[in-house]
Amino acid sequence: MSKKILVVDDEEVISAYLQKKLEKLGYCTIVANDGEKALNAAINEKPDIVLMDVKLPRMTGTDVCRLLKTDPKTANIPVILLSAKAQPAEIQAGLDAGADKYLCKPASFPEILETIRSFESA
Amino acid sequence: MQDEQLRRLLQQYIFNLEDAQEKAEELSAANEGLQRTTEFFKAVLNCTPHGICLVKRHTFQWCSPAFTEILGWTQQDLPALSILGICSCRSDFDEIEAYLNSADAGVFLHGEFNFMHKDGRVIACILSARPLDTHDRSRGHVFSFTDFTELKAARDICRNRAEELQLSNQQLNREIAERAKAEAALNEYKEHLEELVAKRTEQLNETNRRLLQAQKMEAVGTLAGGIAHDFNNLLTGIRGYASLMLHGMESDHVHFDKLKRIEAMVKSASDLTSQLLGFARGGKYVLKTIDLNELLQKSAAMFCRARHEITTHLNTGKKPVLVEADRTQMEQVLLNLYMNAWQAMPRGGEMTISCKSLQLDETEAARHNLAPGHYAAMSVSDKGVGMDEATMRRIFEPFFTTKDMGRGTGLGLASAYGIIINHHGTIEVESRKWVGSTFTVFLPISNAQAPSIAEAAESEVAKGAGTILLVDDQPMLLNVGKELLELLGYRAITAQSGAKAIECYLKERDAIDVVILDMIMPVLNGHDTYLQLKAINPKIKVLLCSGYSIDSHASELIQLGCNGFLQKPFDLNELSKALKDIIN
Repeated sequence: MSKKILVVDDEEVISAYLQKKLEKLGYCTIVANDGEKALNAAINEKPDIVLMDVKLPRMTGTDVCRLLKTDPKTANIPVILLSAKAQPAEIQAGLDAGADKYLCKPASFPEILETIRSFESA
Repeated sequence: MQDEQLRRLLQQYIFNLEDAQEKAEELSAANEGLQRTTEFFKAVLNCTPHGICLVKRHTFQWCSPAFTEILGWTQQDLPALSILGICSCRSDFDEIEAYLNSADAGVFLHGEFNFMHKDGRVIACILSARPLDTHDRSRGHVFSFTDFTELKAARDICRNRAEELQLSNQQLNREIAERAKAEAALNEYKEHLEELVAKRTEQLNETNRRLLQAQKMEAVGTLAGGIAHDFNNLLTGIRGYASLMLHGMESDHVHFDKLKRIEAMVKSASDLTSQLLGFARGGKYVLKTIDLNELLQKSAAMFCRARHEITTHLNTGKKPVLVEADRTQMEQVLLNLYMNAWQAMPRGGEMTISCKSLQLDETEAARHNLAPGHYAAMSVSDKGVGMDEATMRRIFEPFFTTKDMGRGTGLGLASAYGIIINHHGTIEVESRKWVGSTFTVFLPISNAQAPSIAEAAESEVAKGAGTILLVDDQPMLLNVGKELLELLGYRAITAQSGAKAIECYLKERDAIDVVILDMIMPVLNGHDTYLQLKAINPKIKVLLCSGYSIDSHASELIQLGCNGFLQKPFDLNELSKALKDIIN
């Protein structure tokens, strides 16, 4: 059974590309373009992995991550943050919020895929 | 912030780059596939024997090598070449044009067409065409040309052969039918032939049976004739001596009655030999034209007077039925038939006698063993005991009798048979046991006029005078003959052979008035003796004499001038009458 991945980015170019590539590889994808929608989707759809930008409208990725990790129903969902914020403090803030991995943009798709697969096998 | 922005842009750039790279790879793969497909189709088009063309707006756009091979036109010729332009006939042109101009998506083309080869020859092709895109026929059409020339020629040969075969099959069927018809006709003919053969075989068997019977009768006849002849010689002696003794004897003489009885018995014996001679067919007396109706009426009346217990029905016409026959012999035949009927009805009964004339055609005549012609048929029927088949077969044999010993001689019917056969007729019998028998006599009809009947008057013994030369090989007959002649007043000279007779005649030619000449003698017989005597004196008077009935030799001599015939045994009366007839 294919894994369900929640892709969250407010830039459509990014989210559409990721969605296309992942589906081509057999993943099932859900796309959200703001933090609130991402939170609702994660709670309602129960994805296997969340791949999420940090800078999002309405609610940041860090906040969404925190809420997810604090909620027992979603705490186990691996959250990969993919962000252009590459300062050490920004990275730390994300990890502190409970993110399982923090990837800095620009990252290649093979790099992103490797991270996703590392959580799959875990 | 700037770093963040840069990172975002870079991220977009990287993803775009990756996407472009992937599309480029996909395109390259697709291109490679397309190339392979193109190569595949090219190979297919190169190796297929069907000429493939792309035609757009009537003009050839592209052609396969096979097309050039079939029709001669090359890729270079195509721009100036229209598919309608190479059609060799109007109907093909019209059909292809109609196809090309059709707007209907489902219209395809398939059939035999003739096209012009580049060198001018006409090539028969199987043509198939369909649009490249059924929804957009303007994109052009794919045409497939298959060279059909050889196949067509082969097909034409096959068609011709099939037609020939059909014709020959029809011919064969006709021949079979004719043969069957001929066989049927042959079978029919064969059956007919078999029928004919069976019928003919039956006829032959019947003829054979009749022939055997006739031969048997002939043989028995010869025997009977010989016996009768010798008996007649003996009887002539007995009768002669009895006549001599009775002559001048008073009726109260002690031997008169005995001699009369001897004479009567000799008469009976003479009747018997007469019957035998009748059967023996020794000959017939002088033939006369007689009316059988008249004969039947008289003979039947005479018989009825003697046999009252028999009722006779006579069916004879008023018109005379004339035949050439010896009246005495015919009377004998009828008497024998009446006697037979009477004996078949010991307690009396009905006898029917009929006579008619009829015409026998070839088939009818053959059935009766006669020549075709006009015949008299007289029949005598009784309602007596009848007889079986075996008896019927032997009924005409001499001494064959079914009667008790002493009641019949067995010669009556045999005599009748001999007499009738001798008259060129036939006698037949039909009979059924306990129903009755019918005897039918067939005699050839005579064309002569009806005779006048003159009853022979009983003649007295007439004495004569003159010299008689008596010739016979039997000394006893010479003795009795001499005495009889002398009793009649004649001078008698005797000769015991033909040679002695001639010798004697030469000596006493002038004195001899009549020669009585026996027919049957050793060495020089009556016939030859007569011829020599006749040579000596052509006017010689000769009375023939024989123990046989008059036969062909005697008849011939009568024809040659012999003056009469005396049947042995004769008595004084008969001798005197015969001599008197000649001398007078």
